[in-house]
Amino acid sequence: MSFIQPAAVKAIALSVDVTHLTEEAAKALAPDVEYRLREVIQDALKFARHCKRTKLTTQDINNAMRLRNIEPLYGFLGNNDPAKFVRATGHSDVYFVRDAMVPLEQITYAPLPKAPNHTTVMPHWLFIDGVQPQTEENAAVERPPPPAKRPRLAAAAAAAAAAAGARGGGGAAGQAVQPAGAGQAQQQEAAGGRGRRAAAAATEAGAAGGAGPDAGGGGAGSVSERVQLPVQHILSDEMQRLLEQIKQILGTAAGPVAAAAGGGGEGGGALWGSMDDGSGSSAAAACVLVLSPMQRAILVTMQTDPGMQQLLPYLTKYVCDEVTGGLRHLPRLHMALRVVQALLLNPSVQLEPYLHQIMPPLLTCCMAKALGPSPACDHWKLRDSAATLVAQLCSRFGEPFYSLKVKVSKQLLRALLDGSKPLTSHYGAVAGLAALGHATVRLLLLPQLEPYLAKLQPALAARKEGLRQYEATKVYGALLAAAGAAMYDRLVGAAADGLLPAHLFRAGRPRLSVPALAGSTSPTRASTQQQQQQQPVAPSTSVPPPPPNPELDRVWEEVQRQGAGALMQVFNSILADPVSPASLKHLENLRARAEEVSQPIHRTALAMLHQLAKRGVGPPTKEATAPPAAAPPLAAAAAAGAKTNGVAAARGGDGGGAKVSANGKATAAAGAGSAAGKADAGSSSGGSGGSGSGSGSGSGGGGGGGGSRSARAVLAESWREDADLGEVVWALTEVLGPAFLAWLPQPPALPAANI
Amino acid sequence: MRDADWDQLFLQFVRKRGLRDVETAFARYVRTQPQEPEDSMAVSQQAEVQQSLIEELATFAAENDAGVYTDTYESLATWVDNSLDMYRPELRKLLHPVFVRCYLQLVEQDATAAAAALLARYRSRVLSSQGGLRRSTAGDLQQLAAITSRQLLRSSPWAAQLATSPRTPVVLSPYAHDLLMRFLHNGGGRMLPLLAVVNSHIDLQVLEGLPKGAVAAAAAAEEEAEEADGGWGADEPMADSGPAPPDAATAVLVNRTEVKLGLLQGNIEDLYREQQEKQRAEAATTAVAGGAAGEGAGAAGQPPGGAAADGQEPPTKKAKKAAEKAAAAAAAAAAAATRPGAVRGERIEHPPFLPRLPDELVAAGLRDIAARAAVSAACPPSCAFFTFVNAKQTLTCCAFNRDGSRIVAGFTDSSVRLYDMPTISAHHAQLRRFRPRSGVAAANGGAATQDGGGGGDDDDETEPPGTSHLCGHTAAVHAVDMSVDQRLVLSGSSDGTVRLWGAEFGSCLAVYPGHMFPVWDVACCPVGHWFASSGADRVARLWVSERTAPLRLLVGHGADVDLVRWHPNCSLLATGSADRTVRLWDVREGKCVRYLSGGLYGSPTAMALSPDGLHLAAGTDEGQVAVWDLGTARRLAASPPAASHAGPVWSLCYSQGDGTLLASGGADETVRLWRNDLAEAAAGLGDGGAGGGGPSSPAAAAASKPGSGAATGEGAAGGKGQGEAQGQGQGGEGAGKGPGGRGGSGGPYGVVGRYRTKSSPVVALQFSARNLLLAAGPFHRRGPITTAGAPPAG
Repeated sequence: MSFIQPAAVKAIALSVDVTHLTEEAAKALAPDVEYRLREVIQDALKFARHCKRTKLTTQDINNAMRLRNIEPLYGFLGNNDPAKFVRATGHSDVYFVRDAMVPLEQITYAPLPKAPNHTTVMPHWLFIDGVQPQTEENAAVERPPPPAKRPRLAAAAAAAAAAAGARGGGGAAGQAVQPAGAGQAQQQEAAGGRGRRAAAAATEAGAAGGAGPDAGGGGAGSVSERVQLPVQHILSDEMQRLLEQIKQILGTAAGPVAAAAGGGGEGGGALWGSMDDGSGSSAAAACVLVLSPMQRAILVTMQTDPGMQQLLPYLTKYVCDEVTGGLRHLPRLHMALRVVQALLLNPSVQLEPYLHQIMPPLLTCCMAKALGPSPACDHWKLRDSAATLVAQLCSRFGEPFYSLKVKVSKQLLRALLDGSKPLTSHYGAVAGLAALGHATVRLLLLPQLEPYLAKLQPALAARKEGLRQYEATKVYGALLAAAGAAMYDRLVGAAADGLLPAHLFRAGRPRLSVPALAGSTSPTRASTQQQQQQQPVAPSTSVPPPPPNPELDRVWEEVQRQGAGALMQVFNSILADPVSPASLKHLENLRARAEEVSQPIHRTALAMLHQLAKRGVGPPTKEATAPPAAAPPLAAAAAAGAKTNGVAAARGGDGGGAKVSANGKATAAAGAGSAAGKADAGSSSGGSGGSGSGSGSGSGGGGGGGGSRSARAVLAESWREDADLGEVVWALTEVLGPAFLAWLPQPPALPAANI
Repeated sequence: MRDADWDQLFLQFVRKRGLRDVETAFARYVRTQPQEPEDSMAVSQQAEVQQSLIEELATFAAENDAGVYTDTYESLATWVDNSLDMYRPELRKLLHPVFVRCYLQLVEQDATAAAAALLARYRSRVLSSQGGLRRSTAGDLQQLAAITSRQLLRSSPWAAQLATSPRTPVVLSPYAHDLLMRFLHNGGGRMLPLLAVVNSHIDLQVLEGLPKGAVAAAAAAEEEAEEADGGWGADEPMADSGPAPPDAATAVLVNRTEVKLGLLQGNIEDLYREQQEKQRAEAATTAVAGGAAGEGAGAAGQPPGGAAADGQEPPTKKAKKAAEKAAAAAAAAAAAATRPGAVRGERIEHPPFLPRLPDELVAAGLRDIAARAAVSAACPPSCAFFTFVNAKQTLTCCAFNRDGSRIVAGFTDSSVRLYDMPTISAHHAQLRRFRPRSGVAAANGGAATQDGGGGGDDDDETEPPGTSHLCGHTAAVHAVDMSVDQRLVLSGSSDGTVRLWGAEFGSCLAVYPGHMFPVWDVACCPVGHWFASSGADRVARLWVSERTAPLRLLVGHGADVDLVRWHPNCSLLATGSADRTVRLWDVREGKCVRYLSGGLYGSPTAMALSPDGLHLAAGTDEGQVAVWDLGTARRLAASPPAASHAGPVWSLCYSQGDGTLLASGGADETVRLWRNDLAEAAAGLGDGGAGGGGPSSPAAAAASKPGSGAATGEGAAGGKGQGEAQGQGQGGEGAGKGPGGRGGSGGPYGVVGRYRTKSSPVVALQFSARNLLLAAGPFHRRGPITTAGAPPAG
């Protein structure tokens, strides 16, 4: 019955050196020991209670023993570890606490414990007029079951609470009653109109030295600023339904299409089907873009409905989830982008608070390492649209969040310069930078262009890794487009302002663009001729994708429709083996035809070249070798140009304007971006062009100095307003290759702009 | 010794006791006993074994047993009184049946004198320990007193019925049963008669479980039932069971003592009310005068604007007369109307031994009353909570001054600390300004400072300003209080002393070494330099601050006196004890005048008296809050277990003024508000009397109505409660005359609000003079305790 066993009594007796204790004595003593223990515990509990504790401590036990005139137990004070009981050997139910031997030195040399913090008092409002404010000093109030269930009731309750608060003096509850400073409390209560209460509180605060219970005026006031009230978001039933609908419809979006496409792909293993495979990529692209009527309706709703603001947190989360969960499913990603786009276009939606949530998924869409089911699928479009979206967001919210654009562009640039990132990420970064605007491109991208291209070169020139090369080409194309667009903008702008003499293009381009045309000096001419001789032998027939040209596309479609069999055969043969000598010959032919403007076949040839270029095949270029080789002669050419400066200036005038049209034809003929072709075409008018170049670079200022600078230095300065455009164009052409020139404004456009 | 000798001895004994039935039965047995062959070995063994028993029997037989019964009964009673607190209530249940049997035995033995002495002693013991006789006990005692001789015993039908009745059931928990058995067996031969009584007449039912559980509940239920069917025996002195002995009707019942619960004459509330009346009367006079003047002027055909506006124009004689008349009538009406409302409850004369309040305190009090917020269930108060951070479970007690700008706290490290809140708040604000980050931490209610260890806002070594340490005690301080003028601080400590500190000087002014054991509580008298203390020596003491010896010793509690509180009229003192009783003592005579115990689960840990002096609320260590009406000594309400605190109730207090709210705070980290409907009803009654009782003209009553509503702070609620107040509130008013309104248990004190703190048990609660609720507690980083975690009743 009793807790203390006789064996324990015996053990205790042994511990105090009573060796002989009979069993009877132990039995008789055990209950008494228990009784004494209970007495001590009872007294200890009294001490604990009067110390307002609900936990018994060793100090209480010692106090209780002292109360009974028993020597307290030493060594247990301040010992917070729970005692470890050890079973005594030889006894089944005797336990004891093993005392560790503590060397005295260890105690004396132990560092002093840290001084405890001072006990101090912190006042706050526990409740005000019976209503507990939701401050951080107060315990969180357990909420009634989800208010969304009964939105009406919740609203009514809130209204009632607000009313009660208003009644309770100064709308204290309604304003969520922060531990207001004395002054605030005074005002509130005075406003509440309960004269007596107000006076009471106010005078009370006054009596407390303006600080007593009211948390010390200023102190509490500053507290109140920091207090963030918990936001309770009540979503009505209808809105919840709508949200569900949106999610469901957008989610099942590509369902049927995917199922159709999935049949041929990976066996429809994934819900989203397989939009992979180079062959199926176009189909995938098609089905990505297909929207069911419901989806369209939903997107339109999101674009117009003012109620979307309420759903914004959920939609934001939806977008994030879609992107994180659907990296392998292009349609989902596209849909997510569309959602963001729709929200962005909705005039009544305030996206600002959610920007920080929306941006990361967008950048992911832009720069992720791998998007879509396989690397071969068309994720480029997704990246482009994501980049556009990012740019839109940046431009829309650039005003309130001035650092947004900076941050985004910094991130993009970092990704671009990070050599460890895959080329797909680089593409996204370039696209993003390009989308951010020409100024950004000029400021950030152009200075990095030269070193980056140097790094990219091996990938471009690589022969075996088809995919990598393809990606590199893509990146190159993107760079080209970005730089071209940026310069185009600049040039057109300058031309429109009349700052840029129109003849610059006529004059400057031939001088700067192609080494062959700088051939007013014989040695360089010879060398470039030589290079051109080598050109057909150059293994690489791949070209960067040309800028979209709807006109040429239309022509090509016509050609296909008409079923020009021979032409298609040629086309296919070139496609089949672009590097074979026959293909090269065909290409040369095509190019030649394309350049002859007068002939009817000209447009067809152009279209064909364009289509070839779209597939990455083109007349052999020399970008792999040309720039390094061309650099020294170009410098010389520039110097020569500078020398003829004065002469050219004398006869600039009307002559320049007259020549523009001829030169323009030549460049228009070279629209497909075939550098070599253009070189040939330009060579006829090279003489006059070369002479005119002097005035161009002269008017650009800098003359010889500008010419002597390296492309890199020029590009680094290119963002400046006063940068010499001619030089920049030259440098870009140098770095990117002659394909760049295709991106510039064509001379026929310029006079129009000038007029 | 042979069996035959045994038999002879036993027969002799039985014959002597007069147990004829046993004798005949045993004689038959003796005859039929087969004679065993004599075996010397066996005999010697037997003899050895039985030796002690024989001796006992012999002594038992030889003695004339009168003394044995009284002695053993006394020792049993003493033993019960000194047993473990936890089991004492159960064991006490044993005393009465055992006493009855012992008394009857004594009468049976013709030891009349001894029996009478036993009866007298028992009665006094019951009175002192239980405050009175329950009806059943009183009935038993009455019957017993009538049986004074063996003849009477034989002829008494009551005794015969008792003899045939089944054994009295007494429920004990296992350990209590163990204790009892050990006590009875270890007592040796002397205890045998008692053992025999217990064995033969008492049915000990041992129930598993802790005593506070089922058993206590059963006991409480039993008590409640008893209370319900008649309550204290002498309320209706035994009309059904013959004439009551005179002493039973008069001296027996502590709770029938006449006690004056009224407030002191000339207390601040009354002063304020008088002031208001005077002002109101003046206002009414001027208003009526003005009105009459205007009337008169109008009647006289003069432009009314001029006369009413400035009164510069000399009114006509007629108008003047009319105004005077009206003013006199209004004043009379106002006086008649407000007087009954003003003196709600009786007032007692200011006793000569009590000092008067200094004038400046009265003035301050009046100001406070004027600025006091009216709180009630409909209009709950605000609460400022003072969190002690870094207290590390050392905070034991706390007290506020009347506006909460100063806080006194006692700690287990034997220090008393005085916190000046304006200074501290300014310091915190400064810290926040210079170190915004730590300011955030500081504002986190101490959470961050507690978490951060050294990272708090006090990592510099200098003591933050605004704190003064009062050092002098040598053990944990368990109670602090502030004197009425806020200049003195009292503290009681485990070292057995009470110390008086000057709050201004920060030093100890006096030491009162009276208690032998720890002092659990101290309380300052609301009017002056008196104070009371109570402690583990089961005695409460009454002191006057200029003497180091106590004036009165209030003796009677059966366990530690945990609480002591002053009645608002300062001539009564309430104590709460671990023997689960609350008593009210008369200060002048030092004797107990009220004994309240019914249905208290656990021992009281907090206590408060209502400002009107009629109610006493006590909170127990099991979370219950119970309220008694002091006049009738009846329990008005007890919180149902569902609404009770989940841990011990550490603090209780009534709102200032009418006491319409009761606030309680406990270890479960909540502050709860309870409505005191009776006070509201009483207030309503006062207003009702003002409105309807006065023989005044309706117009005058209407004129005085808004004023009176504002004065009592009741307004519409008071007016509404008027109807029922007539019926129900009368009881509270009657000061022990009527049975009082017992409208459903727990009804009067309903829960108004429940507010959780952030991990801070509420150690102290106090309504400031202007009815702002001040609460304090240490921040402990742990979850709220549950009922399972609460300590068992001590």
